[in-house]
Amino acid sequence: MNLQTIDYLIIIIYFLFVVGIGIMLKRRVKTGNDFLMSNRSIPLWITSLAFISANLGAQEVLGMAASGAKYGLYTTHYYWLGAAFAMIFLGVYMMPFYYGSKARSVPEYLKLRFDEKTRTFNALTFAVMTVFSSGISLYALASLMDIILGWDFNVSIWMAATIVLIYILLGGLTSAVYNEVLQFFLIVLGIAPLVYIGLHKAGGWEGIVQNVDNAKLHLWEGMGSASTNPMGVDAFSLVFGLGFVLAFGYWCTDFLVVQRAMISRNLNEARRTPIIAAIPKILMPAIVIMPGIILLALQKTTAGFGLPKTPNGDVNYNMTLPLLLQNLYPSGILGVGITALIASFMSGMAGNVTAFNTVWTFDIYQSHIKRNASERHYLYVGKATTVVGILISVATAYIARGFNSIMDLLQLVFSFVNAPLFATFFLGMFWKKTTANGAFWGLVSGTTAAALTHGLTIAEGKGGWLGQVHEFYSGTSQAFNIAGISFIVCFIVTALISLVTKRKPNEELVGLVYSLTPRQKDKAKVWYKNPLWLGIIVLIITSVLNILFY
Amino acid sequence: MVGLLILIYSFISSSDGSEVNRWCGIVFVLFGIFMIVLSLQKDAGDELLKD
Repeated sequence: MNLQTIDYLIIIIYFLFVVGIGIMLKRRVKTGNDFLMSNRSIPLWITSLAFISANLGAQEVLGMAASGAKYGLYTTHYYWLGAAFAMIFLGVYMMPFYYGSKARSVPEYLKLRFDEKTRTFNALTFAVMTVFSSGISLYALASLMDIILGWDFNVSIWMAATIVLIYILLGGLTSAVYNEVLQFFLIVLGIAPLVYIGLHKAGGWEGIVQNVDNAKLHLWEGMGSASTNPMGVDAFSLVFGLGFVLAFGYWCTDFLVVQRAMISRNLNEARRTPIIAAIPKILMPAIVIMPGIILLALQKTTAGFGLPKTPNGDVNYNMTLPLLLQNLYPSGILGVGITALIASFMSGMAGNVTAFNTVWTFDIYQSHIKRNASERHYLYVGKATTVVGILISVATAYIARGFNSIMDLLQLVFSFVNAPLFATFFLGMFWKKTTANGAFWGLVSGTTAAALTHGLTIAEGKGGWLGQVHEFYSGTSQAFNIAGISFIVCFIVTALISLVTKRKPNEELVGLVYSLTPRQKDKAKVWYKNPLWLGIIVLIITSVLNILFY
Repeated sequence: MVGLLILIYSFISSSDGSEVNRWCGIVFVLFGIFMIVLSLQKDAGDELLKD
C-alpha cells in the first residue's frame, strides 16, 4: 500500500490534534482526582461516546472485520446478544451502586461491599489484564503498519506509545476521554465510506446474498448444534457463555468501560451513559463486521481480494480490513482510513492505560503503600504509573510477537478474569447474605476453574496443557464454555462459603446491596432522560434486529 | 479540516479516486459544520467551552 503526501498529512494532523487536546486540558489537572477521575465533570454525550470508544480498540475494528469474514453475520452476536443486554443491565440495575456508593473504581466498590483482600485480588488481576491488552493493541498496530505500509515495527511501537503517553500525562483521564470521542468519529468516518463503496461494488445487499454462503448470513440458523454453524458453537454455549457470562462480565464489571460512566456529572447521567452508548453499539456491526462480509462477496466476483496466509499456512483473516482499504480507497480517503485504524489502536491503548493508572493508584498504592498522602502526591503517583504502564505495554507488545490471533488470546484472558467476577458482583449486589470470604474464595476458585478447564480441554490445537478430557468443536466454543464453568464454580463457592461465614451488618450495606437500598424513583418525565425507558427502546430495537436476521 | 483537505485534493489530483474523495470531503465538511453548530449551542453542557 503506497501512501501519498495527502495521506501522511491527514495522519500528522490527527497526531497534532490528539496532542493538542492534551495541551488544552493540561490546566484542568491539579489533583489526583482530576487526573484519574476527571473530577466527575464530564457531560453525558462525551461519556457515552467514550464508553463505546474505549472498547473500540484493535480487537474490535480489525478483529470483528476478521470475524465477519470468518463467521459472517454470526459475529453480530457479540453486539446484539452480548453487548446490548449487558449495557442495559449495567445502566438500569448496577450503576446506582457503583456511582451511588462514591467508589472511585470497580475494585473500590468490592472493598466497600466486601473487604480489602477481595479488592486487592480484583485490582491486581485487572491491572495485569489492562497492561496486557494495551500491549496487544500496540503490537497489533505496529505489525499492521509493518505489513501494509512497511513502517518499521520499532518506530511504530515507540511513536504510538509516546503520543498516547503525552496526551494522558498532560490531560489525564479527561484527555483520554475527549480523545476517545475524536477517535470514535474518525473510526466511523474512516470506515463507513469503505462499507458504502464495498457494498456498491459487490452489487448491494442482493449481491451479498447471491455471492456469500447462505450459512454465513444468519444469526440463529444452525445453532442447534456446534457442527451446523460457522462459529462452531451451540445455542446454549452462545447464550449462556457469551450472552450472559462473558458479556455481562465485561460490560458490567470491567473498570475500563465502567469508568467512563463513573465520571459522569450525576447519577442519572451515569445510568444513561451505557444505555445511550448501546444505541451506536448495536449499529456498529454495519461498520466493523460488514467489511468482512463484503470481502466474501468480492472474493467471488472480483480478482485481488484473496486474503494472505499466516506463516502457519492459515488464512490471515486479520488482513480483511487492510485489504479492503488497499483495494477500495484512493489516496486522500485512504489517509482517513489508515488514521481510523491508528485511532482505534491508540483508543484501546489509552483506555487500558487510564484504567490501569486509576486502579494502581487508588486500589493498590493508596490502600497498601501510602494511605493519607496529599492529592498532589497522588497526582504524581498517577503520572508515574502512566509512564510505567506504557513501558510495560511496550514490553508486552514485543512479547506478543509470538502470538498470532489477537481475538482468541483476549477472549481467553477475559474468560479467566472476567467470567467469575460477574458472579461475585451479581451475588454481592443482589444477595445481602454474600460475605467477604465467600466473594474472595469464589473469585479465586472461579479463576482457577477457568484455567483448569482450559488446561483440560482442547480446541483447534489450543489448551489441553494438563490433559485432554474433552475436545470442543471450535476455539470460540471452548472460550464460551470456560467462561460458563468459571461463572458456575464462582457462584456456587461464593454462595456456599457465604452461608457458613459471618456477613456484614445490614446498616453497612445500605447503598451497596439492592434489597437494602431505598429505590430512587426516576423523576425525569421525559422518556429520553429515563434510563428504564431508554433501556426498553434499545431492547426492542435489538430484538427486532435478531428476528430480522434470524 | 480533514474533509476540506480531501475536498481540495479531489479537485487538484487527477487520479481515478477524485470522485470518491469529493463526496467524502463534502460529507466530512458538512459533518464538521454540524458538530461545530452543536458545540456552540447554549445548553450543550460542555464545561470545557466555559473555561
